[in-house]
Amino acid sequence: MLFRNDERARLDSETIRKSVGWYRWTHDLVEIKGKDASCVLDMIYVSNMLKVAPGRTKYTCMLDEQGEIIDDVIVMHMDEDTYWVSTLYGPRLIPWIESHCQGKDIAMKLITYDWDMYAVQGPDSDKAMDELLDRPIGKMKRFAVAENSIGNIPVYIHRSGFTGENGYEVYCDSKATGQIKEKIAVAVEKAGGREIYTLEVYVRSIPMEKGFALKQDFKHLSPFECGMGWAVDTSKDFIGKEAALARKENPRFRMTGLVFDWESTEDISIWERVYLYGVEVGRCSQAIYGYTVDRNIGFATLRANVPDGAKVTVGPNGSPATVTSKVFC
Amino acid sequence: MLREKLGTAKCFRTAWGKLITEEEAYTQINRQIAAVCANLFQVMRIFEPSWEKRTEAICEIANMMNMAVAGTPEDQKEYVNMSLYEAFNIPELCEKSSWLGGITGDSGDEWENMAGRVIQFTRDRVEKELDTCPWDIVGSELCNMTTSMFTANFDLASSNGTENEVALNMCQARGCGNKHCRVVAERRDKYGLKKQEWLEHMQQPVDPIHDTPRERMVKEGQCLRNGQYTQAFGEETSLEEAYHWVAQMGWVWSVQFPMMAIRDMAPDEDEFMRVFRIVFATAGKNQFIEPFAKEGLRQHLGVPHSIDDNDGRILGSYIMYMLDVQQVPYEMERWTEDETWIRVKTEDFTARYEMAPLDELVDAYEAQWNGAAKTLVSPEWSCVIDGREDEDMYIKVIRREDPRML
Repeated sequence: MLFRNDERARLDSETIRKSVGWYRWTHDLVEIKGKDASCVLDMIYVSNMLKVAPGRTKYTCMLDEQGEIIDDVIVMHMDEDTYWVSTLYGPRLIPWIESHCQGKDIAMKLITYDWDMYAVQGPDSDKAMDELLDRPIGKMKRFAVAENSIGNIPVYIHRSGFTGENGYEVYCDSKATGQIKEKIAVAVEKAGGREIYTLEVYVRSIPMEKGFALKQDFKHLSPFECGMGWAVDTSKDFIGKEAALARKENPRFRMTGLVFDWESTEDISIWERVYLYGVEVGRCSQAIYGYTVDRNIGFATLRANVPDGAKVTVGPNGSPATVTSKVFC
Repeated sequence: MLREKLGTAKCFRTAWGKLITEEEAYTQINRQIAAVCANLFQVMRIFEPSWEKRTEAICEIANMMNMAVAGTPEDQKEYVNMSLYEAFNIPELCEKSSWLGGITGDSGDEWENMAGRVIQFTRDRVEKELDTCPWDIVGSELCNMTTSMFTANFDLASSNGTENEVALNMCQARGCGNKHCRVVAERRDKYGLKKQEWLEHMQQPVDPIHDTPRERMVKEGQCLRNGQYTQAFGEETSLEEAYHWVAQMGWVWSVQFPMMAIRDMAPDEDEFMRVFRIVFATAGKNQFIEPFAKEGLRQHLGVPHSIDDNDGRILGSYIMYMLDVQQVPYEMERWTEDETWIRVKTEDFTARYEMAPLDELVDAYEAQWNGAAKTLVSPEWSCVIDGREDEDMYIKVIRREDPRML
């Protein structure tokens, strides 16, 4: 839980928005290899994975047979027949893919413990990366991944992030993590930045301000009900396609933002009930303080017919809030 | 178009046909286990007059047993990796150190309908605040005992897996009459604090606390409010799962662990059991001593007016209700105005958590229900449990003269 008067959290947030910050950001990582890897991933994910060239990455999601999102991930095309999938649910992703790839030539492995990842995020992240890397970052495109090195230690650099700011992710052999961490700290400091300490700032507050959600925010939603329709390639087949398209025509819910009136939200837990004129119309997936917008904000899954601007109440004490876009700044 | 059928919800039916919802039953089981714990702690206070000695004893055993759950000392080092990272979806971006103990602590609280929130969750400081606690009737010894269990959680989550890095204080406690329960863990190296003894865990923290105002306090845990508990990293536990967990583990931590220490406080086994039964018998009599308590129960269970006050089935139906609430399977053998026989598998009754049977529950409930018979029905009635050494045992509500009634 974050509060307006938490000065350390505010400083963490401002560092990412105005300068550059770094933090350990290791996700579960699943390596998928084999000549059928691209076809299998194309069936699992809603986006066209066949168009993702080696060296490029794709933010996408996978659905169950009801067309509801069960995970959102970044798929990285590392080389011809090798992909890395960055997820927070690795041990569950592997059995799901296994159940949908009979007869296909792929091999999967959880490599989470082999690779550590550090995020370097903020408008000055280019400066920090120039300080850090042995070879200049150049004009690396967003959602690109490339080999590089730090003090001759091989790393992968992924231009991406979860902050809505320019940023990079540094993948290193977990055995070298101590050395890499030290070098990142020095480089970021030289670029005018610092380490980010508050987990809730970089996992929740900063991303939510920019409309970036976690898997649990997508509960019961199809991509078309949460603003992820852009990622769906309807010209190809994927698990849950038929149901998702039906939900596109007749959406049951929509994902929205909430801006709260009260100065704090101690009574709002994850998945709290939302009421319009006293009638339950959905759930608030989480509320948090946003230091850039200086408000308590949240994501909600509401009935599709609840409009932006609606005045709702949330939780057991009727915390008043206004329905808004899920992108707050 | 008219509806063709009624909606459905999870519930069980009392002997008289009244439906008890899953939510009501879950609320009841938490409070019921707390009540048994409160009775047990009265036994403890009789045997050990020193607050310090008895508190230290139950702290020690609760900590030891919590650590034992994680396996051998070698297993304990890897417990967080092996268990928590998967079971609680604590992602790899988290530094493995004591603060992760806040996740297990918060989960356990919410599963047991202790309503509150994690106020702060950082690598240097974790603050957890509760607005309610079903166990708030038990007393400060239990509040202290829970700090020893937190200590185990934080030990297991620590970077070495065996010894935590924090000063851990329950600086406010519902069981001591405070508005909130509040546990604060602060890294000893950051805050310049020393390692604590068992009775030093109710100090004030270094950094100021955040006190949630009354208008934003909550009365029920997440499982009741929202049908599920979701922890900080998105892992969900449904009300059904939480309820089943409580029906097993609630007995283990709050009854079985302290029972092990309390038995040792008695001069011998016979004396322990003598006092134990007296305390539970008294609790049973007091349950229904007021006419409005009897009336309230009749209404709750839906006992029809045609059932006379002196009918043993009133107690029989209360026992059935209590078994249903506690998720103990049973079969009815007799159900007449003269007697109620309820057949229960002995292991189902004693071993709520299979690994840890609690035989004393038979003595506790026999004494308590027998006491309750005297006031809920009349002194003509008794409750006995026959066959406790057999595979099946029988809970009987019968007319019986009892010249040495407890």
